[in-house]
Amino acid sequence: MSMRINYLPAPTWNWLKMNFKEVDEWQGKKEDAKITLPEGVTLTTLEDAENSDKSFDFNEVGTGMGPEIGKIIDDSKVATQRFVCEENREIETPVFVDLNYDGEDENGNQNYVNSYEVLLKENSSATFVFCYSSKKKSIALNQVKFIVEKNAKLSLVQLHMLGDEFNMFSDVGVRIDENANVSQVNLFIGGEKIYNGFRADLAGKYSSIESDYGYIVKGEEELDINYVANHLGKKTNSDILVNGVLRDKGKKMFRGTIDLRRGGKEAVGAENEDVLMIDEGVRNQTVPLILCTEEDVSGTHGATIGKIDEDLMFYLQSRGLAKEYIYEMMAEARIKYVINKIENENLRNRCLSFLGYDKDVEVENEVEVIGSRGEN
Amino acid sequence: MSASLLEIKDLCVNVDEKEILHDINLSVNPGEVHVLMGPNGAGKSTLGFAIMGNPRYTITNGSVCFDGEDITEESTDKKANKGIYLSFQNPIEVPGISLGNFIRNALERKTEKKIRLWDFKKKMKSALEVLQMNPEYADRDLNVGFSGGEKKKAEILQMLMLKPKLAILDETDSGLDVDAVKTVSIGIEEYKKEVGGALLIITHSTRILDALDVDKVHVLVDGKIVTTSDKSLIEDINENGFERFL
Amino acid sequence: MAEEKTYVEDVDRSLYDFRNEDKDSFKLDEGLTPEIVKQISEEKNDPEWMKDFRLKALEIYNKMGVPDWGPSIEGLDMDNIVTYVRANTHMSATWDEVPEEIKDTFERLGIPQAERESLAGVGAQYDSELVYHNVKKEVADQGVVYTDLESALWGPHADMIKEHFMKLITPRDHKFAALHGAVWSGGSFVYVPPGVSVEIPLQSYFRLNAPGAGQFEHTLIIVDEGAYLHFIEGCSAPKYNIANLHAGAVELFVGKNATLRYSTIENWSKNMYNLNTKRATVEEGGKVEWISGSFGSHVSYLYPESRLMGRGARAEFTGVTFAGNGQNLDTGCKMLQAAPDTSSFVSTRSISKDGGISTFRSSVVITEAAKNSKSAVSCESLMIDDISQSDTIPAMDIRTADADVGHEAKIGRISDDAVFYLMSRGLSEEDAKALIVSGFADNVSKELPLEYAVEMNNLIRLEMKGSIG
Repeated sequence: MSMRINYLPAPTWNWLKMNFKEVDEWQGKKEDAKITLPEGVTLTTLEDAENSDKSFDFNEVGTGMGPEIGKIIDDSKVATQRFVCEENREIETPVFVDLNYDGEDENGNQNYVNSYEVLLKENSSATFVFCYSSKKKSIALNQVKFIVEKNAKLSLVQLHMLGDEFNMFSDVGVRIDENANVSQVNLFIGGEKIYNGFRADLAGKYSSIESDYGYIVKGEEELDINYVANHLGKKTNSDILVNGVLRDKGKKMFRGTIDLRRGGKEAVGAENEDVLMIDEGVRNQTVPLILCTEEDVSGTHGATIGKIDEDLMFYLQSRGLAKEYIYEMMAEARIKYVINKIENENLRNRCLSFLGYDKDVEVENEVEVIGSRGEN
Repeated sequence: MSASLLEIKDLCVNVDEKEILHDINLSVNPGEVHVLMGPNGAGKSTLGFAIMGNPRYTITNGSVCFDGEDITEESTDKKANKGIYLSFQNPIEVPGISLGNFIRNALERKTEKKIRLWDFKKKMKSALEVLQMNPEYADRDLNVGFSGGEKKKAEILQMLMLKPKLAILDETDSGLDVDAVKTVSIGIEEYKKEVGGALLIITHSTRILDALDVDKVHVLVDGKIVTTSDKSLIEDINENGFERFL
Repeated sequence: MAEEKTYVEDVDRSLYDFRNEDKDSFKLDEGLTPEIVKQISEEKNDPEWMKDFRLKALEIYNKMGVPDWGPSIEGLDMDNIVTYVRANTHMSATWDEVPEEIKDTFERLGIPQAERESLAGVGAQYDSELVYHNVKKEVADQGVVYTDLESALWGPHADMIKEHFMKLITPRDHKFAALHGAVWSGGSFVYVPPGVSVEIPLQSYFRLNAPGAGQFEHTLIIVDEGAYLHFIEGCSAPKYNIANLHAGAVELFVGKNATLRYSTIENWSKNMYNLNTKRATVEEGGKVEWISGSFGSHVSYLYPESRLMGRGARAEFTGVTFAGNGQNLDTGCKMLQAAPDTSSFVSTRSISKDGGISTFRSSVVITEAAKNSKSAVSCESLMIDDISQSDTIPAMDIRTADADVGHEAKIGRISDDAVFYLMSRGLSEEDAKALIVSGFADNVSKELPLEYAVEMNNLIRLEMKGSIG
């Protein structure tokens, strides 16, 4: 049986095969995540009875992958866990959800399904980090629905650092209320196939979201992303920058939608994508959508795809760097640019380490120790 | 003749199928300071780009020799590694790489060996001081969000750190910018002191040249070098402009 | 097949609902049988191969479904459309011979004047039949062939036509290409020999005059090696109550190092369903330029496609679309780059007003073979009020790293500052806005011959009138 995920809100020609992604259905069991819970955040597991009642708001939060993915959660009978961030509280320590899928289990290839809801109450601010890592061959789904209430601030980081036989489904939906803000950093590295869905409903006026996505797709990896920003309230703002590198035979699909709805006056939506394609055999698909039914808005999107700009190439070569080296350097620069958006230094180092870019850091520390004498 | 560092013979350069430079002959000896002047549109910047091998410019005739080697067909990075440096009027922004790391990478390519971080940091620090640049610049992403003046400083900084045998400074835009002029002047002085390399300064205003010991002055009009002389030509141009060469 | 609905239920975007095959009214009906098709073929005196072609196309038509991703065409009732209406006239050599009533309509559309102003020739279509056709001597002397397509099937270029006819746009492409293949009628054939540069633009006018008549003309243009041609297609029709259908086809073959500029202003009446298919194939070093202004029709599906098959081939598309009250215009372009060093440039503007819906839909596909290719797409949309809709749905599929692809899109409204500035110079608010919108559409108007640019600006003025309040 197959199902469809990552729907394009307004379909295009069928022959392009970009309107959605078709995947096989599957089921899994809940993975025990290692969770760091700072003060001010509670975590409960919702049983069915509670679900139908208190989840009411969350039921209306749509996610980027679309309704069909819910079937996996239902069929797997996985209970949703809910985080609640206290009202009026600035929670500095991030909530860390470490989903390392290499845990022990009876059979070799167990699949994993997790479902979370996160409620940031009025005036609260918190950081949520979801770290997906694995070394084995398996499939996992993690779905998270957020409600960010009035004046609240959410900082969301999703790090996909996966082994090359792993299939990952990460699906997020967020409702952003009046004057609330979300900033997110999404990193996609490794995995055999990564499917990512994200949908933001900018429901309240002045609500806003900034997103930075970075990826490296190499070997025969596949990355399929769906991003949807629905501007419902007045004076809302959305901005996404997607930066990535395609190498070897990597394939990537990015669907990015800005929907400027009637009534959402003075909304501003922006979408930018920068794809560096390095080797023959790579394939890039991009569909940047802007839908608009409101006059007093501004929507822009830009995409730059392909090899390194001629002028930039000349500039770098004129400093003595050879072509191949430049490609390596630019690929690294690109992903580092996104990693630098992660505020937490330990997380940044973890990413750099996974990529093998941490040699500089170590060397630096070593030399500092040896050479520190007086000022430095 | 074999003593010359840069030898340009009968060079013709096209841009978009149109010939911009015709039969350029120019020779620079090690350590010399040459100035290339001319009215707007003469093709001055074209020469710098052509020497460095910018793909938008096609050499249709003639040759460029550096240090006794014919480098006309060489790739840009090889030319740089042989010791030519071209400063850019509009250096390009590269997010994700810091200015410091970039320079270190370029140096490692050139010398083909790893450079000790501590040594490098020391050298960077002193170069930044000479140019009166805030040491924080080393950590900022290359050219990203830099003002015009900061970009100029970053270009001169790279020149000082890479220590080329020949530095080509295209200052056609700097003319009236007091800060730019100051930065370039300090940079040139330091370069001459520390590196002793040759300089080819491309400009149409003479302010930058005031304190310089200039060996030769070339005037480029409509893509041709119409005259080559010594420093006295600068004053002449200051007073009379380029009228008599047109 | 299970009904598929998009999941964005909370917005009234019923247009985007995936439609159930049972719902649409396009079933085999009494209007369109093999007998009718045979009749058409006989009346036209088709060669045998053409009759067979039509019948095969009809089969394909009956098997295909309607598109499920664009504006609804439910209002189109094939039963009411008579595919062939003949006027009581035959082909004329000069203007004087054309019947009064028909002349009248053309007169109002300004054709005679244009004719006086050194046009190469005018082919005018009246209700699916070529009525008036005149090829000026100079053009004929250069060896340029410009005739109606139907008679050319028996002429000296019959083989050439058979080799090319519906090979670029095939009946299998989509349902209305198949319909076209079955019932096509009228249209032009142009052949430009190698090295010939046709200085004056060739033009062709269509007009739909009787209720319920379908327009199925076919334009076939072959520009041989190193030649140059500018072809202008402009059309206009009055208002009717019964649904009207335009399912024409334009096939352009651009040879090695040849250039073809194809300009169109489409201003079909506001009840028309414009399901036109246009496609060009370009060989090595060749270039195709599309200039397209879409103003009329109730529903439009229009995406001129350029296939760059030879090294260094180029395509440029410049378009403007104006969707007003009751209109749903789904327009754009398709680029296929399948050879090295090819490049495509797209610049479109769209305007939505009074509840109009304008959708820019495009695709850029660059294959593995298209090394060192470039593509730049720029689309801008203007929303005049908050009851209209403007969507941008561009897609890119790049299969080689050795490519340079850029894309940008913008949507917004008329700048208050600009309106204020113009009003401070004495223009009324209405005029100011009309002027701004005209300026917005200048990417197209500056590429058109003057009389067309004027017609286009007039159209814009008329559309903008009464837009305040």
